[in-house]
Amino acid sequence: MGLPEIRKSVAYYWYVLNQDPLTIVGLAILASIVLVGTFAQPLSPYDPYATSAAEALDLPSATHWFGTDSLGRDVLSRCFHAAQIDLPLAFVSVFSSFVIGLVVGSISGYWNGKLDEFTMRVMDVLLAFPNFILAIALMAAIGPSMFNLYFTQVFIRIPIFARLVRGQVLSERENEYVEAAVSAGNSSYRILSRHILPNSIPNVLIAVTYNFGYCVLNIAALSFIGLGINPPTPEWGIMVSDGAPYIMTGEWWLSVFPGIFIVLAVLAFNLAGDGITSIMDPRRRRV
Amino acid sequence: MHSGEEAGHLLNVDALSVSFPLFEGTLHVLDDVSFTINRNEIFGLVGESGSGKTVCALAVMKLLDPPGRVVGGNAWFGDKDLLRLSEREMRNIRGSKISMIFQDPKSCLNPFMKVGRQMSRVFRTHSAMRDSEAGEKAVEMLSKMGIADPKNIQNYYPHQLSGGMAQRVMIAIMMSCDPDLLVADEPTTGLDVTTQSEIMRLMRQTCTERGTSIWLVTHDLAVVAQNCDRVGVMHAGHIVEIADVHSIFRRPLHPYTRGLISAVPRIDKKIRSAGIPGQVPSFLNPPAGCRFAPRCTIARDQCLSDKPTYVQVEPGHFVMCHELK
Amino acid sequence: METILELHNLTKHFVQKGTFGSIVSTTEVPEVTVSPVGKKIVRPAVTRKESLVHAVDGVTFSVREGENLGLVGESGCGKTTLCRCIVRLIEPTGGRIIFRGQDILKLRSREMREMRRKMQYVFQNPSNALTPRMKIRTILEEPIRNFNLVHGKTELLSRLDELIGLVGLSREVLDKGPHELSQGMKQRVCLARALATNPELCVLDEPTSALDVSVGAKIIDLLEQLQKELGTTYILVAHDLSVVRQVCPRVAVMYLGRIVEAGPIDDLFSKAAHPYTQALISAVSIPDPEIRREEIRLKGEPPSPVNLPRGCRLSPRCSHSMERCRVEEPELVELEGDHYVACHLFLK
Repeated sequence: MGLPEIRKSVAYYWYVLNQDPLTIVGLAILASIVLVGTFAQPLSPYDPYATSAAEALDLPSATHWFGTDSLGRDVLSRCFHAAQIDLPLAFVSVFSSFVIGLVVGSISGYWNGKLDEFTMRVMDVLLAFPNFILAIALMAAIGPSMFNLYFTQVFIRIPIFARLVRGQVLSERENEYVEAAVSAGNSSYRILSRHILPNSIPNVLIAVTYNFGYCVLNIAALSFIGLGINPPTPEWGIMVSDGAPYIMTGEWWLSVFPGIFIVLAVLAFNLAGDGITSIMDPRRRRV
Repeated sequence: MHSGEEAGHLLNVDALSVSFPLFEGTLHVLDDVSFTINRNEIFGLVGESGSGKTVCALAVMKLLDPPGRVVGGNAWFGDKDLLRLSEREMRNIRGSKISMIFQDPKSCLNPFMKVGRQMSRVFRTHSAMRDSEAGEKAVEMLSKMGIADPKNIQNYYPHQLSGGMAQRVMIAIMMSCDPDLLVADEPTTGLDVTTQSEIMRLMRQTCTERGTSIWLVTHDLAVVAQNCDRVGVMHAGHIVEIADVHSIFRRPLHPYTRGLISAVPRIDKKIRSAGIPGQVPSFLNPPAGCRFAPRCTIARDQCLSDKPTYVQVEPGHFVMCHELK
Repeated sequence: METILELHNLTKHFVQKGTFGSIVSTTEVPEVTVSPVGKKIVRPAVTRKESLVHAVDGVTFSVREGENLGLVGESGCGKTTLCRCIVRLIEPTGGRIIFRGQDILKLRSREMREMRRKMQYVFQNPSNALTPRMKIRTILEEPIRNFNLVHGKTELLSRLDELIGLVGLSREVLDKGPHELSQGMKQRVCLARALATNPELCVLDEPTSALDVSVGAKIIDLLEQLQKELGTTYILVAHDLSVVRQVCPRVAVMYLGRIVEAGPIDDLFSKAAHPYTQALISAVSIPDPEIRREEIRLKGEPPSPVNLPRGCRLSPRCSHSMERCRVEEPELVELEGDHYVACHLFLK
């Protein structure tokens, strides 16, 4: 009929996204932050590590748009460079977590026997802990470092994705096209990988996008309490933490600007995630 | 065609046109659809999937989902044009003057509320009743709908009911205010054969008792043959033929109607049918003239370019075709 | 004619764990008890602990080569479960399935996979039966590849062309996905997939109920044509007797997991013996307003397959039921010339 072919084009996706202006806003913010992080070096007016006692705690001005912190470092430059830490870390750890959760969840969901029961009980135990508490416990146990932070973020999310994928696989498995695939003589492996998984993943991708936001928050919060990135590396959470005592004395800009970046990043991920949802699931579109 | 006051029609749909503006372009779904429903009559709107029959019913009830829009025509109900009423006025009509039941009754009921309670709530919305009175009326209606053990059933949740029972509950709810018109969109599709005939009988009986007309939307010609007084046949957003049920089956005039009737499998004899050639045309760029022309065996050039008008072949028997003048 | 399939006492029970929304029977009188505090408790007649759903309960019949069998019944009668058991998409709980002299229930998974070549299944709703977003080409290649039916790429391509032409579709369909096709085209693809291995037996589960009338008519036509060309035997499941009439010379009627009547279609239509068959046939609408038939009605609602009535399963609803019917379940016996019925009215 011609209808579905056009629907696959970029122009159509743009049209769908346009139905909800907030999605465009979210994508725009996300794009900006990513750009800022990628080109942090050329975009930053100052070296994020350069201290200057004379310029410490300066108000935002023409020379320092976001002001300076207690060691005279330019807050703007530090915010930009922090994007280089937070965003890639969030992307990579959430994706790794997703892949591992995918494997665990799909095997568990498809064969659904004793192995599934055991795995799910393990996942349940992990899920019983609030995400952040588990992260704190892990980081406290293995010590703060970039790799450990990555490991922790991956670890705490595996049960989430495993559960989600397993749920999808369990429900897809009951569909007739799976029975048809069996009837056509396919092996279990092929049915799982070629028939079930491609139809299970789209719904989980939505969780992936909003987990990016959670991950950024998680990292920032861990750094805030000193269990994440170590100073002097610029990171939004650390910056908020460093600036906290100064709010009382009126120097708000140390915490507020990195705080705004955190808010924007999480907001952007969530809004963009909504947009992806409407592309993936035609029923949600209002077109 | 004029206001429904004339000629005593209950519902007079006149030149109804509905479009769906989409990314790819506009889907011109309904094009100049006109028909009438009289009092105390069962009118069957028959068509295959994609013919626009459900869109037609939803449009008249003002229940069309966006982006669907009515782009022309009137729907006279008494002296009111339903399409021009405000949402508030329409809400007063829905449920009390015109009711609608749908194909999957379980999905129309609130899954978290007991069935009896849902019913009593509806009663109390449309009339001043106390809780206990409404509850009693619910049990009474359930029993009238042929449900055994209504006192127990009123405490069930929708998913615990069978399809047939759920539909009976829907009918009970929808008939509770004695509407003038009941719109039924594929009410028996998906139900068992024995249940289907029970439900249809129940609907006929209930409506005859209260003087309610039924507008039945269905793809099932057999159901139409056994239950309806008048029939309208739809194809690709056009009503191609309207007549009383005997005329339609005895003397189908439009090529589509004839093709459709000959294609229905029958239990009493084996039929040989090649079906209807071609496919339903796309609503995106429908033919300018008759929408059936690309599939029609007797079409001429004129048919593709000029849209045919309704021709009254016999009193009450209208056909939309160039060939049948 | 050679017998191609034999079922002996096939049974399938599902264990239904007590859930919040377990099926409830409505024809049974609810159980009324008094709690220790004197409060009256009314419980529906189905216990909510582990109950057995008797989907298929001792079905025995045989299918002859070339003689299509129609299986009819209403929802809950077990015909769909039965069909899935025949091709072992569901594992039966008991009984034997003999296909060309071999008990397929005794086969192990690899051997069973080989057997699938000869027994195929077509599903009711083509939209659900085709993997979303998978190209038709891939869907049709799978049975061909899995059963090693061709050697080499060229043979594969020509076989695909052959298949797609067999069901009356054009080659462009191969590169499309299921969502781009109409219902009728999808069902043709499902047929093509089922017939790709040239099976001896093809079970079709309501192949036209999800389709429009005119589209369904073409599919039925196609089925008959394909049978002539390929020599497959069909088992056609339908709740619509009219469809079965077109294709199957022989019909079996099911009610609550058992066969109540079986025989040549003309016999069943003109002189149906079992009260249920009579009610079923009388309920089928004929697309002709001149023909208004007297309908034989059954009382009440079909009971749930969990709580089966004692004796004949139709007895609570049957207007002919006698004392004997409530106690003893009737066996399937031969009435005359291949016409079997399970009813005490005919058992002496």
